[in-house]
Amino acid sequence: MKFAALFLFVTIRLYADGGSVLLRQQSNGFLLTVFGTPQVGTADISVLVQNASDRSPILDAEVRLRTADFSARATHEQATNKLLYAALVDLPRAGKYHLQVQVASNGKTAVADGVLDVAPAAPSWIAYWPYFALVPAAMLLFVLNQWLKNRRVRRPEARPSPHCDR
Amino acid sequence: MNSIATAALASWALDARAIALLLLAAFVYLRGWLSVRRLVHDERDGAHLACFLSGLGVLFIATESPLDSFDNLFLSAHMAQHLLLMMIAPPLLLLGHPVVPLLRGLPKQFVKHGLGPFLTWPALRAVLRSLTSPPVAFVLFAISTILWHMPRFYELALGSPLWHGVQHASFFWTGILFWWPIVEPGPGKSHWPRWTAIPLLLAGDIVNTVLSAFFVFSGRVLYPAYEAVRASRMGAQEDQTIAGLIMWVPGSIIYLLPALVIAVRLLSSDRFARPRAIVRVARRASHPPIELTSFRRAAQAIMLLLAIAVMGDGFFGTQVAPLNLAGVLPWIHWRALSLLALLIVGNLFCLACPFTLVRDIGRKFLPARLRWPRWLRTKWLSAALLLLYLWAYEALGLWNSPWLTASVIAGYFLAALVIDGAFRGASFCKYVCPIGQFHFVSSLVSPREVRVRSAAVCKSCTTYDCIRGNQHARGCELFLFQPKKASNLDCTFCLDCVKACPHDNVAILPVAPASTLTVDPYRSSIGRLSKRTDFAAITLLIVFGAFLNAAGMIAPVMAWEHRLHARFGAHAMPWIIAALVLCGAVAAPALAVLICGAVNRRGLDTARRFVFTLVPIGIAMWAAHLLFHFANALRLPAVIAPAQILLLDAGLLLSIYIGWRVAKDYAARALMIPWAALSCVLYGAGIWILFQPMQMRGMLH
Repeated sequence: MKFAALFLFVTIRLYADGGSVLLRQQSNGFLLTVFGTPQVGTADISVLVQNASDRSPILDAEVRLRTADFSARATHEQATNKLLYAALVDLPRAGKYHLQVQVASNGKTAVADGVLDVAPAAPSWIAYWPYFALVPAAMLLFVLNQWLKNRRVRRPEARPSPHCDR
Repeated sequence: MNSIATAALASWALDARAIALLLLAAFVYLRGWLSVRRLVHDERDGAHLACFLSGLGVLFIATESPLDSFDNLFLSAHMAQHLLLMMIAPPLLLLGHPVVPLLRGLPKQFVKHGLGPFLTWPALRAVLRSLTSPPVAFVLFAISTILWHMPRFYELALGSPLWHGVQHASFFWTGILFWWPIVEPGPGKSHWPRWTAIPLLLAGDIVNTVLSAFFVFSGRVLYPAYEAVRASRMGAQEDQTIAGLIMWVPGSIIYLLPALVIAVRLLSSDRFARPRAIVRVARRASHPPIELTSFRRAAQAIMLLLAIAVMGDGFFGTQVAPLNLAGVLPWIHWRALSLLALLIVGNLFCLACPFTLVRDIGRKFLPARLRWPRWLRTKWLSAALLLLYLWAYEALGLWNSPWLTASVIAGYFLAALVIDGAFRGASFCKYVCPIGQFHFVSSLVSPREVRVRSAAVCKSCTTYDCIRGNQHARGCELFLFQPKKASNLDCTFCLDCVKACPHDNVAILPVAPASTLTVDPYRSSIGRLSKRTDFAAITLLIVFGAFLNAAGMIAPVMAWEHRLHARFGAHAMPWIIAALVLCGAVAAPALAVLICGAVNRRGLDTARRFVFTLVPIGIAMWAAHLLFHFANALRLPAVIAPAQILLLDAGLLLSIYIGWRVAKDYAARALMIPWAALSCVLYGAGIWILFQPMQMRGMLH
């Protein structure tokens, strides 16, 4: 089977079902867009399958993601946006992976190829920095609270002017 | 409905944290609303509540519905989301007049001492007054609206979840500022004349109209990201036009309708009447005492049935822990739920203790006349048993042996029956039961306590039924005299005192968590904590035991244990674990206390008092650890890490705060420094442990 392919990497960072556009490719009447933020560890990769002629989303396709390290079936169930197909894949090392997306729908199949650039994993605690920041933030507020209380003790409310009663 | 529409409507982006925050806001508002309603009746109360809850509902739709899932694929979806965040949710929330209900919904002491200084800070009040003045509010709202719709900033938000969050937050908060002078939610009267709301709304509409007209008539796609990923037959230009129309038509209605209503009200003859301000002062309703006494026996009976089921399965069922009730219920669900109850209510496990039910039945036949030996009237025996438990849990694999677990439970029933069948009072609970000691110490951070309502009533009491008992109920079996009882320590929540008090002066009442540790009064049947080495020791054991127990399940420690196992053989492992337990739960805390005491150079009494400041961080570690097993058993892995960190955060902050209060009692703030540092070290150790791969234990399949 011959696949006509128009390969274009989209440079615009656009977040969809948990990631930016990794590749967008037209093949055998399908337009395939792959989203993700691949890092070492478990990564969420999503695929939007569209009819290339009118851009309508195709929802009944079989979608499979392959690299040398993994092969995973992408489904709507794993996606938040149910127009997409998503799969959770394990990426063992940083670097470039050759990603192949296989799509089959209504007897037609298509394959899109691209390079998946996997970033090194950030330390897991970095993802939780807002929770760690709560402690110094609370301490700061407490210090401010005490400063305000002491200030009030040092500077009691001004007595009303004797002219007020007149 | 076609399949695409069905798929779109099923695309809910539910985030547990956002939902939890919305529910928390609803809870606090509702609590405050009910409290205000008890004092003052206003005919608009129902409308306020409906508006506030609707506002939260709109926020939920904006952030969790398919609108959120599609905002990066369709500008029209994103625009509808922004409309909800800027123009619908803020006015609805403000129409709920939220300030007073939210403040009354929070704990009174927190509002008074925590928020009070900020709420009365003149500089802050001036800033808030300025921010909610019509000119400033409009300028900020307009800047936020225009800036974020500029392609450069819009694309920035589209490409980064962080900036996207900032964008939405700025829309919402500038929306609150903009609608504040229009709704005038109070409290207090606005400094601006009412008519200023009209030009403000008209100015808002002008900005909105200009922007939406630009979307509709610009003739080019403003945001290339939407053109790059056309997710439907609709082109990006068409999508942009629809977005502009959404902004234009409903947006203009939202601005112009209130302007019209305000204008009509200002021009109408009864504009000064403000008839809705009909306020009727209602009689303050007294809170009925929480009637838990009748539930106690039922709860004990249920727990007894569960214990029998666990023992039956443990002795006669399959000996695979995850498939056996004895491998799951006691070690995962019961421990987690009893700790949850401690943090939310109080010592409910001791209240529902099945061992004391059997003991009470046995006492109908057994004498129970002996006095517990004086030399054993300390916590040392229970501390030794707790240490034994920490060792047995790992060395004998209690969690992995249903038979052994069932044996321990049976032994517990027997011990309670024999000890309390021979000795007077609740000697087993007070001096022996290690589970009870764990709950006594943990309940120091509980938000409720069994205590007297009014000290004056106790002063006039001559019968002392709470400790002596009467024909209705026995007195406290743990010898806690209510007027001198100053915390949950040694209290089993049996509610005998509640039943016995003829003045209805004893009840389960709210208390600020750990607040009883900031003072050191003479405590009935305990004395001063600064004089009790046994209490300090068992507290340290519970605190350090939390870290030790969790560390025993993480990959690095287990790998180390396996290496030792390979080197010395299986027979040496119980001794190795004993050495580890002694180091972690005895030597390490002793060394820590020694160092802190040496730094402070204040003697043993001071060190003993400061030991109790570690209770919050220790209990937080137990809770965070048990949450891991419990949430995994409930298949909720996503909430684990944030909830664990939040628990440890709360524990650390409370430990440091209690330390600060204790140091204040000594009039020497520096005394808290080594203890605060120790809390920080424990916090760091806890975070490190929780971020390691942890062994799953006891999952019911």
